[in-house]
Amino acid sequence: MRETVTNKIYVLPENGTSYKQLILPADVSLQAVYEAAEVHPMLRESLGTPVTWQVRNETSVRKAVLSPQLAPRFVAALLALSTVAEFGDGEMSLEAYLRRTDTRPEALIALHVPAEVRGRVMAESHVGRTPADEPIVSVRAALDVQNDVVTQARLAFTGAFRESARIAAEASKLLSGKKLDDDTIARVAQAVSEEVSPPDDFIGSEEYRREMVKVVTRRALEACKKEVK
Amino acid sequence: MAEKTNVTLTLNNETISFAVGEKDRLMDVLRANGYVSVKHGCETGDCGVCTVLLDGEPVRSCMLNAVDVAGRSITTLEGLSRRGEPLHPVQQAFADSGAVQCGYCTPAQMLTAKALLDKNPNPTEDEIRTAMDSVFCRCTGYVKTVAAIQHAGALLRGEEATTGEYLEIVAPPDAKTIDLPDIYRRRDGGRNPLPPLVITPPDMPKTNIVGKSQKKVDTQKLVRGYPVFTDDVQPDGMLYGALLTSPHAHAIIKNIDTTEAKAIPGVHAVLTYKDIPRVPYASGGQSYPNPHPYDQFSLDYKVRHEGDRVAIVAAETPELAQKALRAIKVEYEVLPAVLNAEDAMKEGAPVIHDEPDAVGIHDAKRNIVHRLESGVGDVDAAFAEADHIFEGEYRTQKQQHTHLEPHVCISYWDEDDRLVLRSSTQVPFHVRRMVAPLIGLPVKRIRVVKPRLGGGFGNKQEMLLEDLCAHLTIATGRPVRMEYTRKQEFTSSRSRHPNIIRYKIGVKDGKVTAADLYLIGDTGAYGTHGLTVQMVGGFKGLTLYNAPNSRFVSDVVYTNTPPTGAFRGYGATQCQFGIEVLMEEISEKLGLDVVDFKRNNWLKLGEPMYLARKLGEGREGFDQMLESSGLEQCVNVALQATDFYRKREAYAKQKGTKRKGIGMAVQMHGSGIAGLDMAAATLKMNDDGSFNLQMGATDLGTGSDTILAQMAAEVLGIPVEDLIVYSSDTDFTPFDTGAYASSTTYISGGAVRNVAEKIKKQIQEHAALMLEMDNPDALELRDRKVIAPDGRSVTLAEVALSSLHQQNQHQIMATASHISYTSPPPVATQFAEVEVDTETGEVTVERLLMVVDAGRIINPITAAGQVEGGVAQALGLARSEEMVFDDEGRQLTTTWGPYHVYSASEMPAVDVIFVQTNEPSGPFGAKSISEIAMDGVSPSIVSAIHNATGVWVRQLPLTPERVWRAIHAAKTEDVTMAEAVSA
Repeated sequence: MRETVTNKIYVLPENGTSYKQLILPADVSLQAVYEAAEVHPMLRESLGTPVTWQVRNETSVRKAVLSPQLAPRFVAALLALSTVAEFGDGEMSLEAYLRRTDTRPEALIALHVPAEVRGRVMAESHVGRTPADEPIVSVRAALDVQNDVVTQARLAFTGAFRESARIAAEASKLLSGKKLDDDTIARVAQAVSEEVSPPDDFIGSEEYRREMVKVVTRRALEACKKEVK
Repeated sequence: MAEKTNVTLTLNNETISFAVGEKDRLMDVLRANGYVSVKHGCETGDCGVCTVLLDGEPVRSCMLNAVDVAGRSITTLEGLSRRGEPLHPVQQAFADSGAVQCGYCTPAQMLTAKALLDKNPNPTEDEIRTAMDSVFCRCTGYVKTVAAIQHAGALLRGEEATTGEYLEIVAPPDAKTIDLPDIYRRRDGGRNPLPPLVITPPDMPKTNIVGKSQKKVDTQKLVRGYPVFTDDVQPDGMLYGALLTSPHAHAIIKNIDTTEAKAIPGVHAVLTYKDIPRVPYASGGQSYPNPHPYDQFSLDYKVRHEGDRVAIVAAETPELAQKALRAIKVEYEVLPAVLNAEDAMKEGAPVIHDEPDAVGIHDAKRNIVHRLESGVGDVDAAFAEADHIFEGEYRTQKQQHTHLEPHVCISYWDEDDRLVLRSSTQVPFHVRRMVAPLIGLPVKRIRVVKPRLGGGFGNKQEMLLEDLCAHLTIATGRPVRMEYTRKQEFTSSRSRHPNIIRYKIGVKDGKVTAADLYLIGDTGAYGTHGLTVQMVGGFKGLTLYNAPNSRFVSDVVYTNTPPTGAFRGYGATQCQFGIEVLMEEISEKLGLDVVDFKRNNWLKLGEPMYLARKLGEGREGFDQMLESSGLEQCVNVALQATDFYRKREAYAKQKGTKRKGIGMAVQMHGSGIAGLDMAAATLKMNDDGSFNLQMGATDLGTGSDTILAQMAAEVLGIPVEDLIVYSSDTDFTPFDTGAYASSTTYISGGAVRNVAEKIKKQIQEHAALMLEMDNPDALELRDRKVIAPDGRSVTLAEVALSSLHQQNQHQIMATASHISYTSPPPVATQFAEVEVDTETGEVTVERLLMVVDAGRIINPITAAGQVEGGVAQALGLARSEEMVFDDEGRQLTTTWGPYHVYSASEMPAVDVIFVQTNEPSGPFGAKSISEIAMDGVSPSIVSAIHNATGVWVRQLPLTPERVWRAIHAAKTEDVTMAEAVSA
């Protein structure tokens, strides 16, 4: 997978064993990501308001990853898209990279985002105080589906865990091997609401966030289901 | 001293070098080097008013270190056009579109717009709004910002385009059959900026300058980013003041040691309560004598809220000032805090004001500052006779003004050893009088200068920094600058009173015959505007429906939260939220059409306002009667423009998750304070026939300088550009109570009209001498001339030269004052269209239409700007803005992020229609406009939510969780209003 990383966003072609990879060098600005033609709509959307033009210009991909509170929906989108972090010592999933405590900021070299994965459906859903406020809770769902069966699912949330953005791992696993029917969706939505550990603050109580996690999960999965059809 | 690095960059196409420290912010470096169009609004990068272009891309200069831009290209507004050059098309478009109000965010908005148009010459409206999300504006509601950028794009593309226009139609008196231009029906559901529509009755007297969209007189200097704000000009030798604030909500300062702070080289003064006289005062800028209580001291031994004053320092640099603050050792005895008004009144609650020398507190032991009891008629008898009695409780929250320019003051001794306070204040004359006893100087040794204001909305009707700044100048002999941080704006300035509003209404034969309002006002840690805000709330909240039997009781209560004060709307906003929702609840309960029920009851032309005498503002008022009202027409127009009844019926039948709703409210406000507000203006003729118009009126971004000049120009028959407008400076302009209480158009306008009439008479008399005529009154002033009935004329320049140099030599000059013993209410209706997500409680506001009778509209563009900006602030109040505290009284919302004001991309369509009336007591028939825009948004949205969902939400803000809980509660219990008594 490793290639010489430039300071421009580019796409690595499919090589037979791997999907096309969108390479986001760590030093490029979020604005460059936002404007790049190759970027998936879910990533672009995650960099829209309330992340402003100025913030995108001033914030590098590295900074966004290391300070996920700056653009939590962007990090959630990267997590949902199975992004791999390339750093000085090798590479690992972004999910694992975010959990590392020994990572030095300069160590991140690039993010590798699988692009145009066959059978992948994606959706987003959120609840916010106002349309342009940072959502109270949001989910980004990326499901790989073959023959109507989910082979892999990743549900990434903001506002639902202590972390700014995080995958609901257990609930995501529940989807694997399942058909995306109403019953499965309801069970997964319930499972997510049990898995999350949302904050309890004036923006939204824990109870409310848990309920909303259920709603946004169901809506995102229903949108995925429509896309499958 | 920190080490400096030389940084070379391209700045506005010139290579330039600065010596900068490693951590010097780009914003500070640019401002220190004269690029003062770059503004300071916060320290967290939220507001965007410090935006510059870095290699053509917008960035926030407060978030970048200057060393990091070495070798790069920076553009500030100064680079768009230099003095003497034509404006850049973006600047021209902002000037022509009426997009500039206070002008503080304008440089950042224009640079962002330029960057957008450089990249995308023909952006969509949504692209414009999204780009502008990065620069907050608190004045405009973004309507004219979007219009300006669309216009700039057209100019840059070389297209023919017009902007800054309004539509006017003449309509029959009842406006029932008005031929409404179709665009105001918004059939496409869009939110593109519409020009304001002015509906004029056929018999409205004609005018030439008044009533036209005159470009603002201060536009040029604002779109060029000239140094017009307080902090843009700094005297030599200036020290930086800083304020140490309390981390506790309630504590006694047991010991405070300043030894270490004073020993820091470069620190010139450290002052605590031990160093300055203890003089009780009230910080609210109000007329003499200031209403009680006098419960503040410039510095005190006790702190009563997080952010309260502890100590002040003055030092050579801001960094040294901060270092000195950190070196002050304070030992606190932390006391229990009480954070809400109901708890504060309970037996055993912590006593917030136990100091013996406070003056005028009603019941300090129960934290009750004022107990107000007033009324008319026989309320109990009227309730006994009523067919129905209804009760409702409504709650509103603490809202912060968040004007972009923080409070800032610079003080210095002048060459006559008089103390000059250059301050961002709405009340320069009140500040001069109020600060004098605190600093031990007579009024005659104090001068207060008000430069341009970067917004105020009532928060700068308080004296917050001036006394501290003055103390530091007195202590050091040096000029001193003090400025609040954004966090201090939240913790140490003022806010809107949170209110608990309990109404009881008696209805007989469909008429409101009895009304009882109990109002709890949370004044925070100090009384300031506590008395007057509740009195206004009671008066407006009981006069809109003007029951002949009305009772008002209010407790104004201390809590250990930042003090509340004046905020656009001033009690009327809160109480009209309550009464409007309750009136709709009653109409639903009685099965009446809400519009008919309100129409049957609202204050009518010719009716006395029953409580006007009892509820003045801080004192007894004056009898008043409604002498102009276009409310019926306003509602008729809004019904047509929204297709209200068809939608209302259809929406009530909806099923499913996403539901539309439409709602309405009516509202009234006032025009100044009857029998109290006074304004004066001076006009002086110059050799060329131009005039100096000097006013105490305080333009805080509203455009009042412009509309007042229009009034003078109308009388004198000259264009506005022949007036040199100056406001305000206590040495050089006559008195004015200040910009508050919606007084400027009506009261200051009256003064300008009066002085212009005096000058006109003087000109007529002198021209009659020149023309050898016996009847000066027959001379007409028009087109810069004085014209005789026989066609002969002299120019105003000839009159000026003659009067100054040749014949009966004297200065044509006059001063005139104005006071009114009536405060004619502007009236309006607010309609709201929303979509509610019943699963999440999210409410998306899609359209806000306000139809307003503000009397004669002096300038439709600036007046529309007032409505649009007020509606945006009101939308924040309705939906998201709330100051929140933890259990110990520490505020959780000290930045714009969690506080959340509406940004450009999420604003709904905001439409403004004026229904003109001719108020007999107003200058040219005008009433006021500014505050009424606050009053109707919240109740109309509640009305729309009810239309969509069937539930009532009685507490602001209307957060998703609050709406969601109301919807869920409705599924399990009866949440409709209880009818208490049915006779």
